[in-house]
Amino acid sequence: MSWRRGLLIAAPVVAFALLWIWIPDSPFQSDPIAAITDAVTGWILVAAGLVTWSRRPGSRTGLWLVVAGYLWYVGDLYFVLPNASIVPLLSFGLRGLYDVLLAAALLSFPGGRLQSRVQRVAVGAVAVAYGARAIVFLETAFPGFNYPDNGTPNPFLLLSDRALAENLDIDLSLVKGSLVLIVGCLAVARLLRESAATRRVLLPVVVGGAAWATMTLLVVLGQALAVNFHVQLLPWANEAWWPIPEYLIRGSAAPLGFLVGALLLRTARSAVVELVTGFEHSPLRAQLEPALRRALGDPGLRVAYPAPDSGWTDSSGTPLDLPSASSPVASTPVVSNGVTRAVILHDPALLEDPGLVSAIAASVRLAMDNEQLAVALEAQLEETRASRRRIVDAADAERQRIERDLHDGAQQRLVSLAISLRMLGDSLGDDASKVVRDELAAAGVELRGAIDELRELAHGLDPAILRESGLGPAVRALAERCPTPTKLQLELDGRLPRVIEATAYFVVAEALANVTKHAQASQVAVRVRAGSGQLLVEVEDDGRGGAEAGRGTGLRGLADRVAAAGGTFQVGTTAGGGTRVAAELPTAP
Amino acid sequence: MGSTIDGHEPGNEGADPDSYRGFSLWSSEVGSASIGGMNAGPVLARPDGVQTVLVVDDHEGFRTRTRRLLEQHRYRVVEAGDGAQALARAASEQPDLVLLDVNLPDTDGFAVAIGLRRAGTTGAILLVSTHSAIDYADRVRDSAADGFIDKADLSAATIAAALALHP
Repeated sequence: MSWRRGLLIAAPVVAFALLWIWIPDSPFQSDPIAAITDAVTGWILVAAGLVTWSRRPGSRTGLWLVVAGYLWYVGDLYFVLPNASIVPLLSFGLRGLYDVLLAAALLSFPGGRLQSRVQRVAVGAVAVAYGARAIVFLETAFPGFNYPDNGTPNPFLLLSDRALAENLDIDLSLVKGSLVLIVGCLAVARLLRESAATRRVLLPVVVGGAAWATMTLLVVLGQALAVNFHVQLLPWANEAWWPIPEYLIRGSAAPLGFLVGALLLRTARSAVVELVTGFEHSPLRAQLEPALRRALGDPGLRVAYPAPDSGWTDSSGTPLDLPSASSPVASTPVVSNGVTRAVILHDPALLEDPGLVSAIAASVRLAMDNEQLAVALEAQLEETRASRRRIVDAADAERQRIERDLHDGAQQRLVSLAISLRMLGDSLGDDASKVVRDELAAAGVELRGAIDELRELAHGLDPAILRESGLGPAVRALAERCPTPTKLQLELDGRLPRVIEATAYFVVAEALANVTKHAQASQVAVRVRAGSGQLLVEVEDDGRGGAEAGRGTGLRGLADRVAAAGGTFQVGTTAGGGTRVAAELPTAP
Repeated sequence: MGSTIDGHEPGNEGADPDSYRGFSLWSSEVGSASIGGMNAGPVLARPDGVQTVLVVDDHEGFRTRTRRLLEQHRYRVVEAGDGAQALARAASEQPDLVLLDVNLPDTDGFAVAIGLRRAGTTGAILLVSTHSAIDYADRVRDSAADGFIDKADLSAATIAAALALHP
């Protein structure tokens, strides 16, 4: 690529050197506008050729344009070396080849192939006309007519009849001009026939080419009419300003068109970048087709996906037929791990850049693999969340069962035992010994302690108040039991899902237990607020802080529990240095 | 501790302990005396006529034990195993006191208390449970019952105090 860039830079330098510096008596020195236009025209052609070459390395169009650009300069040798024998003669002859290359490029841009027989015949005819004119030029040039009087005779001279030579030249110019017009018409016809993807880059080329063809025809026709019939085709043809637009359009219109068209040619890299940056939202299927259409500039592009049973569908599930071998639509499969995940149906012109479609297909494959992985990961995550919820639910159910067993079993038995002891006490006569009375009293106290401890145990497992009365009363009971003065703020309306109530309750209970045990706080604020599908639980103390979610099984367990319920859990430090425990839980299932 | 409402921590029962209608007033006094005074031989206010106590509880063991305790003190005892039976027995027996378990197989004590009052039961209604009153929060405070007692605190003294609520 760097050597091509070198050529691009060298071309105008060479041109200017030739025209202005190296040749002291150059006619361009007296006509700077013509000189600049001349130099720039060649430069534009070389640039258009190099851009096309780099973006369509497999196409010959780029090479043709570069060669045409240099031929443009070669032709200048005739003007800048008027007395240097045979070299300028040859160069002037070669200059006409520029038109042939331009015609071929116009009909083949950017793919490099002339697609129809008519196109090939037209370009061939232009080449023949060029050749005929070059031969006539060489055979008729003698000193005083297209040849310098420098003592060296023209080795090709056959005919030294100046009038005949002039007429021949004009006739051949007319033929060539007509052929160029035909090429222009073929280019317009091609523009109308091509797919939208190609049309986009072809339009500036054809507009420039049509301007070039029209002006070429006007000039040769004007010359012919002026010489043969002394009629002015264009009334302004003799005006002093006319050569400037004429020269500009004949010289630069087509090269400019090629340059614009070449710059519009999409590189594989830019198309991939545009495609990949376009993928932002899932699901991929819904956005793939429009994204590919944009990236490849092919509005007719479709993406077919294998149907679950057999056949193909589009992204919405509508059946889609893959093109047959003779179809004008090209298809590129997207294959991942040996499985065809999709088929891109597109304009075959896109295949002219061999890297483009394969790079796009690779990007699509990566995006599809990525999406599949994301979907699998999300499914795994969901499964993990669900299993964590099930574990918490199972643990809760087990705690409930144990609480119920304790309540219905041991607690009832102990209560019955307490009543029995009381009956025993009541039935003791006044003659009962002090030892018996004292032992009975001690047993009563002991039993009462056992009942209370058992109740505490059951309460910790599954607080009845939470089950019976809901989160609000349960949290209020916690606040009332807390030895640290507690400011309670409850914004609750009705009952919440059981697991959410239990989780919120345990957050408050554990946080308050921590405050009591560690915080050395003088006050604690408890806020429980439900709204817009969320339950916010906050416990804030004014103690010495230092609590962390990762440390201590209590807070760690809370974090796990909250996460299992689909919520978030935070332990932080308040502005006053105390501890803030906060959980946010989803209240809608 | 502190979960019971037997007077260990009377200040913990809420901002307005008096709102525990009749309940904290007597249970905190009588309840503590019942355990501590078990062998102190409390003076029981024995009724002149035989008073009827309806024991509503789905645990047969508890009903039997309570029956013996009450019969020891010459009360007449009627039993019911669930809420429906309780309403039927109350209608036929016109009890002076209903000992109403909060947890019942067909309904809960709060609902039965309302049903009893609607059906015209004039006797005292006392909710009993192995849970502490604080577990039921406002529901006890707002219930149609006259009070709440921890099952473990059930004694002749508490029965007599409850009966005194509806002389």
